Amino acid sequence: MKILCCVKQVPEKDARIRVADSGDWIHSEGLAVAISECDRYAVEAALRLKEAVDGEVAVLLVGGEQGSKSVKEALAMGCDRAIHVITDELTRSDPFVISKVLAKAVEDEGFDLVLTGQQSDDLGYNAVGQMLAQHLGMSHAQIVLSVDPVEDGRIRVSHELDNALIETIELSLPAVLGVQSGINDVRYASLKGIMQANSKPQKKVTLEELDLSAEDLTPKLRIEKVGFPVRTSQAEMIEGDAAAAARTLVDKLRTEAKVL
Amino acid sequence: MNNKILVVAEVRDGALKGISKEAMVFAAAASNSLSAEVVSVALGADLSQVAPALAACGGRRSLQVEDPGLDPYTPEAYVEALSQVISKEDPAMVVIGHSYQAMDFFPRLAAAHGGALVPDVTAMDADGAFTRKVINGKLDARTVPAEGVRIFVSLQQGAFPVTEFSGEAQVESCSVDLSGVTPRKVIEIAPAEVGEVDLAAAEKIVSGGRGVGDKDKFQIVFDLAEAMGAAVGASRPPCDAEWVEHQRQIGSSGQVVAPKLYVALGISGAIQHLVGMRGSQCIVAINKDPNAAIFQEATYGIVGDLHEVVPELIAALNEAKE
Ligand SMILES: Cc1cc2nc3c(=O)[nH]c(=O)nc-3n(C[C@H](O)[C@H](O)[C@H](O)COP(=O)(O)OP(=O)(O)OC[C@H]3O[C@@H](n4cnc5c(N)ncnc54)[C@H](O)[C@@H]3O)c2cc1C
Ligand SMILES: Nc1ncnc2c1ncn2[C@@H]1O[C@H](COP(=O)(O)O)[C@@H](O)[C@H]1O
Repeated sequence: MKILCCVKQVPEKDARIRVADSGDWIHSEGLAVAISECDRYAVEAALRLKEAVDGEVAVLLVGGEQGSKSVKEALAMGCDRAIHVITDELTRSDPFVISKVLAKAVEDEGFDLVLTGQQSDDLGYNAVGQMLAQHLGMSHAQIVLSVDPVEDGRIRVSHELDNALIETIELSLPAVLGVQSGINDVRYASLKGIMQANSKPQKKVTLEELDLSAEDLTPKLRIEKVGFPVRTSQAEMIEGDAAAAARTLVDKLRTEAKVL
Repeated sequence: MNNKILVVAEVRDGALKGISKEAMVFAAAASNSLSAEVVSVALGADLSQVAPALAACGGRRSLQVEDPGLDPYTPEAYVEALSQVISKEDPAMVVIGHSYQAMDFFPRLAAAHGGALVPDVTAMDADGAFTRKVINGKLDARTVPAEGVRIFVSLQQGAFPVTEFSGEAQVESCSVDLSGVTPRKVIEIAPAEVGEVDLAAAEKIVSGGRGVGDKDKFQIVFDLAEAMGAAVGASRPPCDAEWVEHQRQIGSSGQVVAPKLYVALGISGAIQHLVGMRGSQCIVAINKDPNAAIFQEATYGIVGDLHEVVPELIAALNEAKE
C-alpha cells in the first residue's frame, strides 16, 4: 500500500504565544515548534498499516525551511521518504489554497491512502484533508479512530459521529482519512531511525516549481487580526499565594456558592 | 449570486438538531444586517415529522429534500444533494452548525463550489467579518472572506444561543437526482462504550486535564475529589494517554454533565470540553495560564500551578471538616 501522511509544523503546545507587531499573526521568531498533535497519530497509524500490509509511507509537509526539522522527525520515526514544499507564504492561508498545494504536490504519485490530522493546532480549520479529497476525487472520512485493510483494495474505518456515536464504514481506495488524536501509542524515533533519517530521500520543491494557477493560489479568506480573547465572563479571580487562595476558595464555595 | 442565506438543518431521530436551531438564530440576525432572505434546507429519507419544526424555525422558505439515498448519512450523497440545491438557489452564504457530521462533509461541499469556508465561527461582525479561534483556541482571529465568493460558514456549538422562535416558513419539497452517487458501505453505527462510570449522577466533579502532567501526578485529582466527596472526570488527553479510564471523558465525545460543582484542573477550555460541562452550577478553574478559555466559563478562578494550589486546597478542606 502506498501511503501518504500530511504533516504540519505548528507552535508547540506550551509555547509562549505573542501577537506579532503586524497584529495579523503570531510572533514566530524563537518560537518552539512541533509536529501538530493529530498528525503524529496519523504518522503512527500509517507506519502500522505499512507494517501490516507492506508498502511505503511518504510524508508531505508544506511550510518554511524550519519545517525540515519535523520532516526529519517523521523520517526518523520510520517514514520512507519525504516531500517538502518550501514556502513561508501559507502560514495564514485558507484551507482551500493549502489543500490545492497539497493536491498538486501529490497528484502524479498515485497514493492509495492519504492520512492527515483531524485538525491542525494552529489554523485549526478541520478542513484541509476533506478539501484535498474533493480535489483528488477520493472518498474521505473525518475524526478517524481506526483503519484496517480488508480485501479488494478496501479499508474498514471507524470514526466519530455526533452524540458519541461511532460509525464503521468501508471505503474503496484511494481515500483520505482525517485522524483523531489519541488513537494509538505514538512511537519515539529510535537511535537507529535518527541515524537513517538523513539518508532517506527528501524531495524539496518550492511553491513556484509546483506551478499552481493564480486562481488556485488566491486565498478565499484573510486573517486580518489576531488577539487574546477579551474576558467577558463574570468569573471571580481569587488572588493571593496558593495557601491563601485555597482558603478563600473553600470559604466561598461554602458560604457564597453553597456547593460544599 | 442571490442575496440569500441557505441554512442546512440537520435532522436526527426525527427531530431537528439543537445546533441547527442555533444556525437559524444566526441566520435571522445575519439576514437583518445583510438584508438577505433566509431559506432552510433539510435532507433525509422521510422528513414528514420534522417539517413543522423546520417551518417554525423561521426563514421564508423551508426546502425538504427527501430521498432514500440520504439515510443513513453519507458525505457523497449529502454533497451531491446540497450541490444541486446550491446551484438552484445560488445563495451568497451557506450556514451550518459545526457538528461532527458537518466537519465530515461541509468542507468538501465548500471546495466543490470554490467557496470561502469559515469553520467553527464564534461571532460575525456587522461588516461581515467572522471571529474564529486559532492556535489551539488561545487566540481569536478576525477572518475576512474574499469579495464575490460564496461563503460557507459553520457555527461553533453554543455561540449563538437559541432565544425564542417565531416563524412560519413556506414548506416546499425539493427533488434531487442522486443516481450518480456511489455511497460508501455503512456497516454499523453504535454508541461509544460508556462502561461503569456514570458521571451524570454526580453532584460534584473534579476533572483533570493535560496540565496535570502525567499518570502518577493524576493522583492529585483523585485526592482532591476524595476531600470534596466528588467524582473524578477528565478532559480528553488524560483519557487518550490512559492516565484514567476512557469513560471519565467529559465533552462532546464523552459524557455531558451538569453537577452543582465542577472543578477543572489544568484544563484549557476547548469547546469540545466546554459543551460537556457548561451546564454546571458552579465552576472552579485552576490554570497557570491567565488567558485560558476555561476562565470565561468559571465562577471562581485561580491562576497558578495546580500542584501548588491543590495540596493547599485539600488541607483547607480537611481543616474545615475538623
Ligand atoms: C472531534 C473532536 C472531539 C473532541 N472531544 C473532546 C471531548 O469529548 N472532551 C474533551 O475534553 N476534549 C475533546 N476534544 C479535544 C479538545 O479539542 C482539546 O484538545 C482538549 O479538550 C484539551 O484538553 P486539555 O484542556 O486537558 O489540554 P490542553 O488544551 O493542552 O490544556 C492544558 C492546560 O493546562 C494548563 N496547565 C499546564 N500545566 C499546568 C499546571 N502545572 N498548573 C495549572 N495549569 C496547568 C495549561 O495552561 C493549559 O491551559 C475533541 C477534539 C475534537 C477535534
Ligand atoms: N501546511 C501543511 N502541510 C502539510 N499538511 C498540512 C498542512 N496544513 C494542513 N495539513 C494537514 O491537514 C490537517 C488538517 O488541517 P486543518 O484543516 O488546518 O485543521 C493537518 O492535521 C495536516 O495533516
